Amino acid sequence: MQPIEDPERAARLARAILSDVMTYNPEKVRLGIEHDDLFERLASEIREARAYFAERVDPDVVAKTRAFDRALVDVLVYRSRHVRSKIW
Amino acid sequence: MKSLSEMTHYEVLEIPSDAAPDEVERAYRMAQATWGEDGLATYSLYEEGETEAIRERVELAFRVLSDPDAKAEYDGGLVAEGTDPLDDLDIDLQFVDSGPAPSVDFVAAEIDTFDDAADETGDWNGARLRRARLRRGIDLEKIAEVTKINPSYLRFIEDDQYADLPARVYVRGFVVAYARCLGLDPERVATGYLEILSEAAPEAARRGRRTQG
Repeated sequence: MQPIEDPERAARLARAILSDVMTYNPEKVRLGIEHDDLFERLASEIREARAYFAERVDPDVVAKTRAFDRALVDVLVYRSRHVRSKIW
Repeated sequence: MKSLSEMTHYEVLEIPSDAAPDEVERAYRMAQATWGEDGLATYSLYEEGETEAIRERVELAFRVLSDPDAKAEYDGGLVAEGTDPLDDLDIDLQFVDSGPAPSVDFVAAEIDTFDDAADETGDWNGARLRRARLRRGIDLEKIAEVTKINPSYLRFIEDDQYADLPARVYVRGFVVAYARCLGLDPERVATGYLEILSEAAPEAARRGRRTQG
């Protein structure tokens, strides 16, 4: 399979993958935000998601764009801003 | 004669596509009187299930055509495809929020050059559908938004949670709509998915067949 070289497509893939993490683990995400331990609580899901992303995206694009890390915040954290937490 | 699923919202309400809002309203009231629980059609040759399906279709048509934004989007879909985008969905409307038809623009915009047949082979199970979706960078909520299918059902489809899925006929409609959003061949994908469903969960498949009559 041809790896993704377009940064915009890579970003879109990262957002879709992390949106799935959120969709499939709503309670874990909520608790993670509430207790400010999101990345520890979802460590295995995020690791799996990152591996899936890395399999499909050109390594240079992964390194240069940091699309996955940006999406982590944009999707998992920002979309959970309605959850009461000391983070905010 | 067209079947109910082949009819446009205009045909359901028996009005021209340039009907004014008051004509839409009038046609809707007329259809309600005809197909309502106390309507004349109740005593006709139609089965209860059929009149119920017609009533739901009338409701959907009215909600779309009486909302200027939804109507504009729906009309755009008719023009772009030369047909009603909802035609082939084969979905029982009780599972679907009424609202505008799937946006053709969205579908076209999200399809890219991935060739699923070339880069992946195998059965069209939930995991493969999910991979196809992710490759396009589309999240499940977007599919739910476009198809108006309850996101829980989409999750059950992707997770192959057959026991939690509704009857087979509805699943087929859901998978067809899902596949369309991804630019996949809806017929091939739905047939493949239902074959797996029949093998993996014969009980669920039987339940569906009974529902289909």
